[in-house]
Amino acid sequence: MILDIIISLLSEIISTPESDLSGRTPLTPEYDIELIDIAKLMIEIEKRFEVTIHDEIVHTFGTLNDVAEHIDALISE
Amino acid sequence: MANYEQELSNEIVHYNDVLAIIQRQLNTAKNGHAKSGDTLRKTNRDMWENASHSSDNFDRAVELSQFYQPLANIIYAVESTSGRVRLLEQLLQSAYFARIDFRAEGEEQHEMLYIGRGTLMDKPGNRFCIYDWRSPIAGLFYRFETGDAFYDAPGGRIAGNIGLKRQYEINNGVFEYFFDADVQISDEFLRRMLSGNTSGKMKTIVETIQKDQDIAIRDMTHDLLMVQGIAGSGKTSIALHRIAYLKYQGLSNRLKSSDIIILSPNTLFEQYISNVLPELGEDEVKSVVFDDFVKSSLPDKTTFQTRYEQTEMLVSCADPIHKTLQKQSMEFKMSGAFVEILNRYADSLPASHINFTDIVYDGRTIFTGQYLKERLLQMNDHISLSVKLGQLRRHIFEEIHELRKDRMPKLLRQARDDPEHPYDWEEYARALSIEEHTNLAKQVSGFISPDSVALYKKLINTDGLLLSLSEGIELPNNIREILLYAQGPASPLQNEDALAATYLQLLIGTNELYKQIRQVVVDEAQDYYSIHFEILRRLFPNARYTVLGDVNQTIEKQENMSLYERITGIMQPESACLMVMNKSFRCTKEILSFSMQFLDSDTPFESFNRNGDVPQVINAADMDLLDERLMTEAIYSKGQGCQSIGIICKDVQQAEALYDRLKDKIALHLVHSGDNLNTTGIFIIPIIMSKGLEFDSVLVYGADSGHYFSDDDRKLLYIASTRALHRLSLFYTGEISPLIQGGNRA
Repeated sequence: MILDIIISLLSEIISTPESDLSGRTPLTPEYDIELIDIAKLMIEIEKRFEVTIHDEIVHTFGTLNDVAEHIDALISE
Repeated sequence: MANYEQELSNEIVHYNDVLAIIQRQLNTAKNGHAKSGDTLRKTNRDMWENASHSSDNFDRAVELSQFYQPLANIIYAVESTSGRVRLLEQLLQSAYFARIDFRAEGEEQHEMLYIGRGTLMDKPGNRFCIYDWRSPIAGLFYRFETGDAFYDAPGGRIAGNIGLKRQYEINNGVFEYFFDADVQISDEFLRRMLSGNTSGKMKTIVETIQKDQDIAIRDMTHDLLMVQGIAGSGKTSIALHRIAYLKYQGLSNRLKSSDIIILSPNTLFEQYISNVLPELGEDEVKSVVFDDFVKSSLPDKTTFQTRYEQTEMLVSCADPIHKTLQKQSMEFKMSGAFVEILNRYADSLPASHINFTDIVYDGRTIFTGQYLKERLLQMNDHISLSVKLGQLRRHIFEEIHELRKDRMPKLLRQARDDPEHPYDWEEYARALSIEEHTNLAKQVSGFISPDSVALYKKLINTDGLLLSLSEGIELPNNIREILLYAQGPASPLQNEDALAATYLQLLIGTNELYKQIRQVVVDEAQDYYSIHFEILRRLFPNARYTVLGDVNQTIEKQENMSLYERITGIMQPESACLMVMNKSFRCTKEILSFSMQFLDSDTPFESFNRNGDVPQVINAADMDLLDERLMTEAIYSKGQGCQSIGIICKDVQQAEALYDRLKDKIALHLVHSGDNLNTTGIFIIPIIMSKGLEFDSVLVYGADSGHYFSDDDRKLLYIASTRALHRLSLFYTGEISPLIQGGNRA
């Protein structure tokens, strides 16, 4: 599952247990996810899935589900 | 009939044989239902013969010779087991309702054909026990009397002779009686059906479809079929039976329930008709109100006045000056002229109303706003603006992606020099890049994602803009006033403004939402304006239309037969047809004659010959006494066997006030928009909500000169009066409405 992998990547980046994260986790500073963390996540995802995430797309990701959806679309292209 | 007893006993023997076949097949189907995998498939195959054509699951194509003559007609039909069980259970309750004895030319003998709600065969490929009412051969029953007749089978026309037409009353599995009909669907039979009480939901009419109704139901040749029918002529029934028929016909080209959409006047009506298709063995079809389209087209969270609120506001508006302006504003903004202005506005958007700005990246201007605008204007005219803008956006970012390769090393250097990020400077550089791109994306969105509501407001609120787009278009004299009227409190949008913004959105954007819809049924068409049909045409580019209406049942609007020409002009079908139905089956002769006084005297009408009491016009000295007389009539109606009693008020306020006064004295319900319609009882309902519904007894409340005086009010009285099946009374205090003549005065 793409989402599970993304959760585990983010969990490592922000040192939060995976069980505290889900597809509905918002990517905002209120949830202790800063822009630098998002950048790290994008880099990790690109390595893991061998895809390119364009920088202008990143701000449209509201939640981890959105990220997973986008990666899914990139992979199936 | 001398040998009635003998015939009856033959019919009962035959009926029991058929019942046994149904029961046997039902048992098999139910067993099959419990099994799984291959077994289920095998059962399906074995059971193909009694396909009722109600399912979407055509998992196997089977050749099925469905018709009387050995025609090479192929229907691909195998349905889900559950659909078949449902049909067989219905047949067990009421196996068939008619029989015709037909002898095709060249044949020796008449063959007995039984007609019911679905097909039943005794064995695979063997003999038809029951023909589906929608099969071509069943058309004989609806269209011909005994004597020469024909039907159009897929292989060609079959002529012959009908020797006998017989109808059956079979209820709850019990054979009650039969009688032979020498006239079209024996009037006696129809009279019995019509004199029954209305239930809370609309019923099927397969047993009593009339000849011209049948023609409308089975019409396959027109892309746009319009039916103008007076109140009670069965328009809505036709629409629903037509859907059932189209689905039956659609077996070979897979018309699914999801390919069909019904546009209802209100949600109450949606529920009212919700039973018909399941009773005909078909899945329910998606029913929507126009506001649903507006909602799905406009940006999320846009608030707008509903169509119901708009009409209710007009009906209840007491200030004549305000009301006139409101109406003028509505009529203009929903007119063909305004649609043309919106077309021109949409065309002018790229050149004049989108603010393109310079795109700066890595310290230099990579595209000027002027360049972007010119590029857009040079694009192919045949694609929609939103697609063009999408292409422009892609063009911009493709360039930026190239330039990013030179930009990143600079960002990396900058990040490495930042003392705050000694360990994660590479990631920090990426964050900086994301930030830059986010700003660019937001800037580009400013002109790439036009907001239809904002653009529409700009059209209305910018001095002179609308006028500059209206060359050659006749505008209302008080156009300034109309435009200012809309500039009142900004939110929510008036319904007509929301429609205009929706239309604009459809012109700008792509619409994929309803591409698959192939049949659209529009009921109460007389209440729609040009812009509604313009929107429909763009929402459902691949659909055929069935449009039903009555130009006399308008609300706050005058309409005539040119409505249908306008609709045809807008929809541009390959072939169109208008059918006019002037015979009313709902009301008694007396109620219909009384109601016709509200229409132009040359309006043609014909009532079905069913008699009842002359409508009463009841007066009282004051409101309290009037309430008393109203309750007396409601209770009397109940005593006379009326199960549903509708007290119809002009508007919501009047209905609410009346309800508050009566609720502790008598058991009644106030019908709200979006309510569940109960089956029986006394209801208080405003006229606009009563459209399309019917009640055994109707009490029109407040028929005084203060409430009903204009031409528009005439139509309201017509709508209210024709809701009645058996009894009609009108109540007033003070001066009676000048529009009301005749009736029994009391």
